[in-house]
Amino acid sequence: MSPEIIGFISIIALIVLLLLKVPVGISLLFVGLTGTTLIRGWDVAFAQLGRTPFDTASSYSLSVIPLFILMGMILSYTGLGKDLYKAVDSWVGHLRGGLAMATIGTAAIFSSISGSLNATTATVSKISLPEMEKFKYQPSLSTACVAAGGTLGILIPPSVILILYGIQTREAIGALLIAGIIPGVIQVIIFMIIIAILVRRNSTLAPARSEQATIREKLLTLKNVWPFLGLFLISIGGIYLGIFTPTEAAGVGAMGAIIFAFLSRRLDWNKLKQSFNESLRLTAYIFLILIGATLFSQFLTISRLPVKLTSFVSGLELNAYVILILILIVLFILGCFIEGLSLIVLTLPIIYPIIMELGFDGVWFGIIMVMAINIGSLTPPLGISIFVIKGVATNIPVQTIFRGAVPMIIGMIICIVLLIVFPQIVTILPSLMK
Amino acid sequence: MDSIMKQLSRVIHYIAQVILLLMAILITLDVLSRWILKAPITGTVDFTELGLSLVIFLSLAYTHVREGHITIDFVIERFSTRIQWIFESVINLLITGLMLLVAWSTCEYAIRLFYAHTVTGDLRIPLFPIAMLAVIGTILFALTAFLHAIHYLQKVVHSNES
Amino acid sequence: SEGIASTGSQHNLIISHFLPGSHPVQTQVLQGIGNEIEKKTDGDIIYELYPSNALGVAGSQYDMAVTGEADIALSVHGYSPGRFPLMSVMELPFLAETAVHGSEIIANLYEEFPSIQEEHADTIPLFLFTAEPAQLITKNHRIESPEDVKGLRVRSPSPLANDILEALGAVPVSMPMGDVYESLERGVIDGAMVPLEALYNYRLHEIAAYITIGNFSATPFFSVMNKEAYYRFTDSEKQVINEATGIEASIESGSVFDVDGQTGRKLAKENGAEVIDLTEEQLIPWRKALDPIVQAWINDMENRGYPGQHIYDRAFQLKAELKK
Ligand code: NA
Ligand code: NA
Repeated sequence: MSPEIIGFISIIALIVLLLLKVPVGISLLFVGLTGTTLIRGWDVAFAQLGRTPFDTASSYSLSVIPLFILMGMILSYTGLGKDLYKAVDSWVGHLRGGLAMATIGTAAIFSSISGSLNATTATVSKISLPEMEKFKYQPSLSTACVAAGGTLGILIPPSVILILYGIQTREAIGALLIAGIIPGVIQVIIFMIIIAILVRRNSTLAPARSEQATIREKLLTLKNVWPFLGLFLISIGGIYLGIFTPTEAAGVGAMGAIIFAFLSRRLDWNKLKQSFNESLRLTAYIFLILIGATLFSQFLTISRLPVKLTSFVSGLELNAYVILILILIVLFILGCFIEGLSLIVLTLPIIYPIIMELGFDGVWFGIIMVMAINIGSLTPPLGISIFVIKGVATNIPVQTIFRGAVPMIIGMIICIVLLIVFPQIVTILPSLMK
Repeated sequence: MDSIMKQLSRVIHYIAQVILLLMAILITLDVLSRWILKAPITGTVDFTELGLSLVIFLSLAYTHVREGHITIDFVIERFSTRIQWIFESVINLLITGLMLLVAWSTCEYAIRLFYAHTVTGDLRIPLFPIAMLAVIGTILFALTAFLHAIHYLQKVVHSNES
Repeated sequence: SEGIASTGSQHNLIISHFLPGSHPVQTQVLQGIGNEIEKKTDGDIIYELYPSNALGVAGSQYDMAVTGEADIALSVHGYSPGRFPLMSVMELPFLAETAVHGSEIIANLYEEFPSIQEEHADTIPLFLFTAEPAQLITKNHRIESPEDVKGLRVRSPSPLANDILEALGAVPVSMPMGDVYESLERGVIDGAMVPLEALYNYRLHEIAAYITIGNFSATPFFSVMNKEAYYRFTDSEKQVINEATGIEASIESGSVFDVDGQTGRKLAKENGAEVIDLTEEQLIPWRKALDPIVQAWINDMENRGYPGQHIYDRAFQLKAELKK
């Protein structure tokens, strides 16, 4: 059996295991181990199995995940999240779907202090989902907002993936980071329009207040939002004034949340303990998936399936735009099985020269590529964002989350089409910078 | 046995919580000290890396105690409860086996790290003991899964008798 | 079928490294070596390249060659701290002047010192090399004398460079290379000690305003082969592998770094950066400040039972001998 065929069969095996209720991380681990054994032998697979979990778990850049989650947990357990949503409700609660739109906004705000997809998604989930549930939003809509909003994390700077893209391709990193801003904003608008359409077609998705809050009520709610705003200002200020790195921002944010919570007398011993408890549960849960995903991606790499698929599509003698779209489809399919960072390093050496040859702009493609990968994080079988949300909202069936995300995925595709038709959306800010 | 395991993973879970808190404190102090005093705290990166791995491996078992690892259940839900229990039992046996393999192979990795004298960059903390703690965390995870498997088997057997 | 070492005597070398797939160490050096081996063995030995840590993190590449996860691995010695104490001789100040120069020194040291060979004993070393020496790049501070570095926060490339920076009165900051761009741009750090190729390969030329050239430290790299993979080959195949690697490969690897370094320097200059080439006279206070570092390194090695003094002396002898 050729390695590519082993790779293909393994993907099917993975789907079967997942459907048989084997935990996601375990399925990935098992298929990765078996596949590597078939291609490279037991000794190699065994060595890889021993090295990968520890190496993945001691990665400095991944430390943002537990720390950012801790920040979100503390904001949630001390009721700061609740106050935020009360305030938002008093301002936009009379609009149907207003809270859902506000969640997209919240996600955009968190995206500007987090460079990681998983960290953004987990934190926004923890803050928003319980609140939207209280306001009687349907889970399919509330989780869709969080899933969609979380993908903004790598489009709006800081962004770990865009920096990696720059290092891999030697495209200007400054330009890449700035280039993501307008597409990020457009993406936010599209998500909001989709929410508006969804709630108009099905009003049970989201309730609306019968009457508007008075100005006085609106202003009063703001006084409880200051810890949240303060924390955000410290984080974004610290990053942009050069006091700390985006990686460090997660640690500072967590510490800041603890201090703010103490200052506003909202944090007792019990809540503190619960916050830590939940943070660790979610961290262990996400990392078991990440460890499995790393092993699985190392196996798929060795199977050469991603490389063969990408080379095949890139080598076709077709119209430039057709090849571009085929490449994006391949990225999207691979994104269903491989996590974003690995996918970039795996496919870029093949894709990037082709994209250059076809005459496309490298910065522009970086943004498009990130958006295609983002879609992969929302689709089964390996939709990492969806699993992160499921980890927070354990009572919501995972298929409800996947199904809810479909309209958002359509929105993301619309956004990509817009960027292909009007590449200036991406290139204008970087060109102004020069 | 069951309660000892629960106690043990709870204690370990507490340790993980303290480490996570220390990570947040240390990173913040490092940032402040570098910004104000121009004197970063040497070893913050080392501690963050090792702390992260401890936090993860020491929490795996406890998360499984609470059956917190994600599953997709809409296919299995269609079967009878009894068949679901059998599935749970088999899956937990699979987890036990896999995690024992992970523990064994990580242990060999730890031994290689020991003989290679591998340490962290700034503080020169040996990696070997940290990797061994990861092995212990993984074994606890395996044992927890094993207890789950037995638990579900007992349920199956019990439902047969009644 | 292609791609797997199953049919008869055909072997497929899995080559793994941490650099991007577009890096000339892959596109020129490793592909060049792979093609030569493939050609001279009539396709009995083929190869597959796995860049960007696709198979494992940079600090584990050596271990991957030990276990056979990779047949050939390439990475930086310093990414596995503690494992190669003697190799850090290359990180001492004012030794390597270019990457080729450093690569020749390291290749000769390896040939001459059994204690250095011992550090690589669980693999078959194919070639060792260095990047071009690290310089100081800064965004807002012009650096000419050690006085100018005092109090600046500078990203350090290695534990030994921490000591160098501290001896100069700077504040060494540890962070992954991926964080350097944003940190330098926003002022989390005032400067970075990096080889000039980083100006090109990590896009730091977009930010650096001053570049002070003093050859402060050079980073050693290894390319090693799994032992079983090597011993599996026939004598003539081993011969082909030996010929394709060795000191020529060291020099070739060094030269691609030198080329990238020149590119980085050019890009930074075009972007308005000022390059300060420290003269022998200007270097005097730098040497004085950094002398204790050398002595400390020698003492540390001697205390651990290694011939530190001997290796250091020979390295500086080679420095003079190999200068073009
Ligand atoms: Na971001
Ligand atoms: Na997916």
